[in-house]
Amino acid sequence: MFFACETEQDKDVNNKIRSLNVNGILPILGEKEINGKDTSYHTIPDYNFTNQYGEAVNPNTFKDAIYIVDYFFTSCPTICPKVKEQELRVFEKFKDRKDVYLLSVSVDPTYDTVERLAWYVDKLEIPKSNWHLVTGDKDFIYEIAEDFFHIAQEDPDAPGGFNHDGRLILVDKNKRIRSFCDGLDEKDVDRFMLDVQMLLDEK
Amino acid sequence: MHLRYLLLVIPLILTIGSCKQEKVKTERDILFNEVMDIHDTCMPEMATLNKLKRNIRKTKDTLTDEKLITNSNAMLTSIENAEEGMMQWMRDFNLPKKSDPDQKVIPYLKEEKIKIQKVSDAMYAALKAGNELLKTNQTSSNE
Repeated sequence: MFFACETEQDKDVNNKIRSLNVNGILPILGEKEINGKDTSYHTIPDYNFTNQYGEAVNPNTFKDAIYIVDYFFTSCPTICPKVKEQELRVFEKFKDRKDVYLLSVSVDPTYDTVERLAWYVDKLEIPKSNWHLVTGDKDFIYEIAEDFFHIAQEDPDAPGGFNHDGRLILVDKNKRIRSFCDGLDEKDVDRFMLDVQMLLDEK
Repeated sequence: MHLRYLLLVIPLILTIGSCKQEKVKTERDILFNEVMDIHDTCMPEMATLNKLKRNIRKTKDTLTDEKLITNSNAMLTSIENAEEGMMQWMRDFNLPKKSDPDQKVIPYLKEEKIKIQKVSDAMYAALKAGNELLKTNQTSSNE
């Protein structure tokens, strides 16, 4: 929901996931398949987007790096700029790392062209390095959202589809989802930044 | 006598007490909330609508019945229009500033309420018709 607050249902989902994170090890989120001794986890499929500079962005862009994903759109008047403020905090904390990126995917790619994204970057003074704001095929963007926001879908009590509610998703070097937070909640973002550090420290 | 007096006074005290806790909502506050409520209720359906569109497209590729193919194409256009209707409304919507006078904001919000209601109606209509068509397509594909 672009303008809406987090619902009680969303809070329940967040709390359930947070409670998994107890022993200093980030869980691997999403469905998993167990075949004998092998366990395969949900991974983000390949994608091809275009960023604010007209450059291609695909999984290779984040090779040997971890990244934080959010869905947004430039004409969103309330939630998106607030989430961007929180993302700027995350960026500031990890700006010296070459292996941490942010990926902001537009849900309105028809309107959010490369030029519009470049304008938005200037407007919100978004740093130019390690932060890709991307556009692409609309239906594909919605389809892959189901993979990025997969964590909520495995819970039968979770809201249907993905909500454009400012959620930030943490993806590891192996394309797996490891954490998420409410990008409108400063305290939750603080906790999320600890998760990012925990993932960076993982051997 | 005393009991009757108390029965009259207690609800009055409770009402005054509850009024003190809540900020009195103005007409523009109420209108703004109504506009947002309509938007917030149908917005999550954007993902559902898009998934429905993708499913209809998939089933369409397996169809041989010309009429169903034509209906599917028309439905895909309807869904696209419903999706675009919401995006366009959000692009156009201007959040009223606190400094804007009521005379300007109230008529604006009344217009926006009508517009977002139409957007919502179009989305739910597309969802209903699209789901029915998808079932028909799936049945036809399996035959």
